[in-house]
Amino acid sequence: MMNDDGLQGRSPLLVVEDLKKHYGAARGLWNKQQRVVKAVDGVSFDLQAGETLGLVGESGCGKSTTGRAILHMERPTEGKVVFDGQELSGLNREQLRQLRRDMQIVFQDPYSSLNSRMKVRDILAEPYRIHGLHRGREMERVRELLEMVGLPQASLEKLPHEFSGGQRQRIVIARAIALRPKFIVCDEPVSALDVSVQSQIVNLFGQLQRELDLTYLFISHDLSIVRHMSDRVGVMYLGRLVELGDKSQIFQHARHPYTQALMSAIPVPNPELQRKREKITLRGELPSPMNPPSGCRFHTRCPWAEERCRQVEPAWRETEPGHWVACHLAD
Amino acid sequence: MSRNEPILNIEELTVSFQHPNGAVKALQDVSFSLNKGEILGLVGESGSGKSLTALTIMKLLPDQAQVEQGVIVLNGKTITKLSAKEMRKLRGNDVSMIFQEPMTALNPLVSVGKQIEEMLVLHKKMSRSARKARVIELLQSVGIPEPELRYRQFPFELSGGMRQRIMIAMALACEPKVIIADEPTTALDVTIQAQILDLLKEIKLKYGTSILLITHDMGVIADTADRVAVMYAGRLMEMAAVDELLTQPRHPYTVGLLASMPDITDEREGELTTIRGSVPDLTRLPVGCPFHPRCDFATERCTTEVPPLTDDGHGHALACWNPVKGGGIHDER
Repeated sequence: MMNDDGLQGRSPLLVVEDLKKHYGAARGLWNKQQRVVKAVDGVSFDLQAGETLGLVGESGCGKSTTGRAILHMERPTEGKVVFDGQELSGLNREQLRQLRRDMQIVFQDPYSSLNSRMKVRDILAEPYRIHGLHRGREMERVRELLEMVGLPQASLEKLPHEFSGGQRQRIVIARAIALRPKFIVCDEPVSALDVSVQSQIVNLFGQLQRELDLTYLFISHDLSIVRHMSDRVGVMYLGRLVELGDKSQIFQHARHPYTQALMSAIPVPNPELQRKREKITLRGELPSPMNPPSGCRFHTRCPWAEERCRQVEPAWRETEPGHWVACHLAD
Repeated sequence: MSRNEPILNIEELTVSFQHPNGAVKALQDVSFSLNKGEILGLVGESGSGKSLTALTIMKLLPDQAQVEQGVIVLNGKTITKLSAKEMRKLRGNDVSMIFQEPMTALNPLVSVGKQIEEMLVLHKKMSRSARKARVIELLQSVGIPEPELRYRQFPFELSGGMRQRIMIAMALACEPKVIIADEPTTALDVTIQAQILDLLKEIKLKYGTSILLITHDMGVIADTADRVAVMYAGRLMEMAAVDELLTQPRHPYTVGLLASMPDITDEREGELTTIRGSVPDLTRLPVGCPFHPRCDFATERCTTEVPPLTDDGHGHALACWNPVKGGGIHDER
């Protein structure tokens, strides 16, 4: 098939199609019916090489599970993940392991994601040893890695506890880029850091993306940082994407009431502006993903819900090029 | 409402910890007051001493910590030298505290209604039925639907937001003059955070309660606080009315902190402004101003002499030898 309209025509680095991850919840003593938590329940998007897609939503919306299911750290219950032309579900353990050179993840907590008994030199050389790369010359590469993430060479002989949180996250990032991956899932990578250090790490992600042509899935509950980092943004609610679009579509022209409410709930550090902002206060709390509401999953908290919202699930549709929304009222 | 009348006054508070390398000063010369009916935001990063300040006021310091100097006056009464027993009478009654993680602050084995009632058993002489009625009323006032049903429920049956409302009901039970809220919304989602912040503001207006709101989030401060105090490495760096501090900050640390945070309305692209280095280790604090190694404006004097917190006469206090000229209203003087 021919397609020659620029960006749209490039085949994406990552295609996620109707991804689902369900967990069986413990059965009650008297209730023999198996209950299922639908953590991710039908998520689809593409990711172009070199771009950053921000994935936002509140706790329990399934954004982290989406990241893990894409990497097949947990096998998806259903759906398709195609990375660089290869469909992951068809791969065996060894093939997946090879593919993980190209797909990495950085977690939130740099304290628990580093082995406290390993020196930095061993932490960073480990990926090369596991994959049998650069034998005898690992240390050269390790030194290069330290340079790239802005850590002094003296770090080599130190243990993780000798570093601050921000420096530890630099070590984690150095390990993630050791094998020159194409794609990194960043799962709340700055949330555990002090505010004055967060911006340093955000800048480091940006700099590495330019140098190494990286593609990011940037998962965060912090919409301000997502706005800064991302080219496009997806908003999740109870296991589903409710809106997806490029940064300006989401932050300036949000169509879904949940996206609008989420953004209006984040206070801005300017008191005058904050007092003037229009706030949409959501009623109630997040329903259980074990028993999501009928129709539109957001209808129990939506200020504008109508009868059809309670009964009919809204279609996932493109309201303008690249801007996807699942809402009956987004016309 | 009587403005600028302090209900809580802290003067030159210094707290140290025992450490193998000698005493570590975790709070140094901290002075501020909380006025009647105001919300004072206390901001800072890890190790800044903001939570420790709260624990010192509540007299809940761990054993290794020691108050070296300072006076704390609550509602006209000096509480610094109170015995444990006397303090117990005050806690919950005159001053109460809300913690970040309501799950660990609540007893998992006692119904939430009973836990709130416990406050009344300790501090008020009330009949059993009057107590229960008061608890139901409290649950209602913090926005908990079906209070009769919730009364009998256990913490695990409630969501994070509901548990935090229970904590707030408990803090309100004896109508304290002062509530200390230590990162009360940090563990919550933003849509729930907005609800809880609205509740705190409502409590201030309805009961005239003074609230010391500890947070690291300048957005929360802008939304909720009347005045703000910024802490760094155990010291107060800057203190002013919220509008002034956030729009015309003068301490290089406050300026850097605000500049390094992107906000949701921010359309800037490219690199974020950063503060170099990281938050100092309290066991290896620099001499002079604790911020000088990270400061773009540091001079010789900053490396030797600690700048004292000085008020400019307009309620804007600053501990800095080389404050940033903000083009603010006070700069013409």
